[in-house]
Amino acid sequence: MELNLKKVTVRERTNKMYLEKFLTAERIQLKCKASDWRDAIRIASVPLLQANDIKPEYVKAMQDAVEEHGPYMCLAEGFALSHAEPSSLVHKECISLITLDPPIEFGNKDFDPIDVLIAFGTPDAKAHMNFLRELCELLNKPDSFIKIREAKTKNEILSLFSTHDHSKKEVLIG
Amino acid sequence: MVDGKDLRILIVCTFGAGSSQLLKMNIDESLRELGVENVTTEVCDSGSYRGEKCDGIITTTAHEEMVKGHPYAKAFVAVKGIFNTADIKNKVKTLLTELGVEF
Repeated sequence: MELNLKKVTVRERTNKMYLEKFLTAERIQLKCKASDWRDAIRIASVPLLQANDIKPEYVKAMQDAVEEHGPYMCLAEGFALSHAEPSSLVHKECISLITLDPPIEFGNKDFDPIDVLIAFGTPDAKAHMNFLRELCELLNKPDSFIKIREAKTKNEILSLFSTHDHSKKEVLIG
Repeated sequence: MVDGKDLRILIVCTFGAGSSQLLKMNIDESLRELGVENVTTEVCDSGSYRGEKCDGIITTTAHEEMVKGHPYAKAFVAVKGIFNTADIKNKVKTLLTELGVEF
């Protein structure tokens, strides 16, 4: 029996188990239209509020953080990671992702305009955010941002970090 | 190790959670790849870093000028972005060189 080595895939470093548990299809929204950066944060928060992951005041806390600290959450070209200090405004560790079309100015001259926004919350700074390492490894890859911002379906984003094969499932349009 | 002590590097970000944890992961990975032990990294937020004793500071370009007033640190570098692993590795090398650490 011949071994088809081309079909052998190298196992990635992490088990990729946590991110798919937290960043579910419901917490992904694509090609959102936001009037400004505050609206963008609000939109990204909608699934977290619906799931009761956060209190409504946490949305304002995330917006206030930008007011107070400037656009510190812009971490790469076109990408921002929005969060506020850990507190009881967050019920449980949570994460959501939106892509913005058109991109939005956040006031960071190095990284504006932003078209990929991830919002997250944690109740406690010492709480182990299990999905963080997987998120880091995902975003370290240079082509991740391209794939995220060009995604037309949620499946395309889910497949970046999911252990399941999404190509055969129904297409979920964001 | 320098003078028989572990070096302490502060990673200064706006908050102590989230993006700073991501940056710390990437800095720690660079140190691992360079085979450097005996250097500890700690995340510190921009409100409280001044009181912390350390040998060097890594921060983002947003805080680059602010940290230079630190009373203890002997070396400073600023990274361009949290996920630019090539840039992070170069900056870590620069910092280690300035602190006299071999790698």
